[in-house]
Amino acid sequence: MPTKPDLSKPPPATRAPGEPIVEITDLNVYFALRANATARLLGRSSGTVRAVDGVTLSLAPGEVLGLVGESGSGKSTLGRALLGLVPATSGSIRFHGKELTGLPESQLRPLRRQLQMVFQDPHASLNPSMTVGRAIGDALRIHKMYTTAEERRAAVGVALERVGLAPASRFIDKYPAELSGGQKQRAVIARAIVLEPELVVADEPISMLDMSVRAKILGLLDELRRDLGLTYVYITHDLASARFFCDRVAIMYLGKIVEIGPVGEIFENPRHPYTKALLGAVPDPDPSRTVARDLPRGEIPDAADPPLGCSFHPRCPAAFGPCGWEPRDVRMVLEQRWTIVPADHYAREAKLVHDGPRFASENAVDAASGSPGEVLELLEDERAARPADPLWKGVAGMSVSGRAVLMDMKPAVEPHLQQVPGSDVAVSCHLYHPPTGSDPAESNVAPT
Amino acid sequence: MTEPVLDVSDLRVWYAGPNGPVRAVDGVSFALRPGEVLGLVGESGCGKSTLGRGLMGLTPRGSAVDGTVSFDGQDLLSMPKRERDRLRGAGMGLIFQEPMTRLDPLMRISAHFDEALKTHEKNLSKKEREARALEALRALGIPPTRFRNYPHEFSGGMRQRIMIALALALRPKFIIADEPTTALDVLVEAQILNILVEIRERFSPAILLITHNLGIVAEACDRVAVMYAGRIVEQGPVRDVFAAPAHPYTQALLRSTISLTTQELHSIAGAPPDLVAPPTGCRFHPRCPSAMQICPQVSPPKFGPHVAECWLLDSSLSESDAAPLDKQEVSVADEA
Repeated sequence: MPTKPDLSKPPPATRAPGEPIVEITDLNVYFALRANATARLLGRSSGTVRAVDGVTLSLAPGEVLGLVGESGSGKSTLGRALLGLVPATSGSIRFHGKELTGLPESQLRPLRRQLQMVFQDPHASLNPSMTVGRAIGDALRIHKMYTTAEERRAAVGVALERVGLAPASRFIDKYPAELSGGQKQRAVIARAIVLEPELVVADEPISMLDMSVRAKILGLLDELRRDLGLTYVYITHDLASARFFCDRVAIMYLGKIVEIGPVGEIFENPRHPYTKALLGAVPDPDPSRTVARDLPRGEIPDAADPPLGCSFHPRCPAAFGPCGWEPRDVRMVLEQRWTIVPADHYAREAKLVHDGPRFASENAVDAASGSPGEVLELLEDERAARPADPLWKGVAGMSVSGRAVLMDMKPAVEPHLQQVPGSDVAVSCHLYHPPTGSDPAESNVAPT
Repeated sequence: MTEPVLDVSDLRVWYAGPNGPVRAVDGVSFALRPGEVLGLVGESGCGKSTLGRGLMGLTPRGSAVDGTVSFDGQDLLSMPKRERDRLRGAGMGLIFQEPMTRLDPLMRISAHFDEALKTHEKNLSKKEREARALEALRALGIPPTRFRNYPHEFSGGMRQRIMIALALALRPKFIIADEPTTALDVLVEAQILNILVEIRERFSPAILLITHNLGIVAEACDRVAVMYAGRIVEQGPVRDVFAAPAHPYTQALLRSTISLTTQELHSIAGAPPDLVAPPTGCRFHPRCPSAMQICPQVSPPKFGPHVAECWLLDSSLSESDAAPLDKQEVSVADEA
């Protein structure tokens, strides 16, 4: 029996076990889009991108939380917001109970000794005109950790040997250009740990490295966690390394967490259709595995104009009635049709409707050169050709009205991250928490 | 058996470096039949991309190419430059890693196709050119409505599909895809791999897929060639090689790959050698866990069943040749 969820409290899966060191509550990070010069003069904005959209989670000391998603999912922005590198639009980030959002840089800076970051590109994160020793020593100088240059140099040496750049005397006076990619990333990690931080945000730390070095750097991060008691936020699009390295994983799509839980459960029993798609897409070096890949259609939508309801619904193979269908989704289905039907059909049909944003209004598909009757005929023809397309589960009726085809869509309900009963996982999907009046049995894919 | 489209034998590509000639490709032989996909794998700096460039005749100034590359029965290396330029594009296509930097930002997609087709197929009419372009785009799932858009209006994955469509519109018999999915997200990467499978069924070109991702090789290739320090050290059907890798380098590469089933991390000690003065004998011997006395002295010949260059496969070695080699400890200092 679907019951009305209590949305005032975050689902337990977003909370870390024990006393958290970081607590993020309902965090939003929006970026204003730059409009053209006239619009800016007139004070018009051309919209906002919700890079992080209502994220709640916490981190326990010593755990590795993975933020997994594709480019544009907001995972890096979330990581940066955590360190105050991008300002939060609203919501709260607490570090040991201390609120970080809204703090001026002068008060954030001392805190950054405890909050460090390792970036993706080791070639870009070291200053080419500073020796390794100076780059790492500078961090100590800025945070006034040792009084004399000798003490600092000794601490740098210890950090270098800790990350495997031993003997330190061989590396401390080298310039980044004299180091290989793996060695540079080790130096970047040394610069982070020399400050003895509690939390390290590692943003794709191995993705720019050669295959044979990735295992070494990931092994080093794992070792440091054990030896120094570090807590990590591991940002990646590589599911294989996330599975190996993380304790908990949050899967992100278009600024939102769509699924979160312990790594074992997420990988063995993925629930959200997006998580399933991601896992199915990972190429596996075992050639005996010949799984036919069902990939979600289309592309990640424009974050400045996200889909209604669940952001994933236009691409989701399991989407059904309440997922957020809109008339503009019809365009995607037609474009798919036009890559299949003969070229002369396309030439005729494409003229009937508008291109781009004029294709549909809020509740109708507008007719262009043709009559609305012809447009309706085209849509009916497409429905007859591919009746199982998830789009049609959201269409209650179509009728001609004026110069347009009125689309009667089933009401959209926005999904929320909710605990799956009997598990440690929370998922934001109507298949698991169907809104009243909807039936997940309608979906082409049964929930697991 | 059909005749190979491409037959490469003893190819060498050396180019000038500050400390002497760099032997980036040093005696490579392989053949590709129509519709076959050969995966070329190895760490960075093993000569994978140089091999691809060498086949295309796109090596930098000051480089020397030697050996034979027989394409469709003609020797590419001995033919005049102009004739070879004509074959490039029409006969052989190239797909690069970064689609954004390969498409002209000021040209519509339609203009890219028009230019390529005009250059190579002079007798096509404008209408035929457009039909050919649209056919290639449709095959890659790019809606015809986007034909007159500019490159910046597409996502990274779509741009890569447009690059592939551009190569396919000329109907080449042989395509080199150099890390075609490296900069892309998992889902987009999987889409491109699916597309490669479809292309084979529809157009059956021979494809040389250069990648460092062994997962991609397992999913998309028929055969695999493992390259180390300018040489192909092991070559054979993907299933055979991955099920029973014969060369210690192939074994180490497979072990160091992080996959969804990884329980423990493994890595290969050290880094690929400097190709100005590669190690004597077997080039992998300084990093090889099972190196023997003979390894630094004599280059290993090829041994079956799938071909690998490794002395371990020789059962007739004398006891002194097969004795383990004393090696120096490899430290992080030598890491890639």
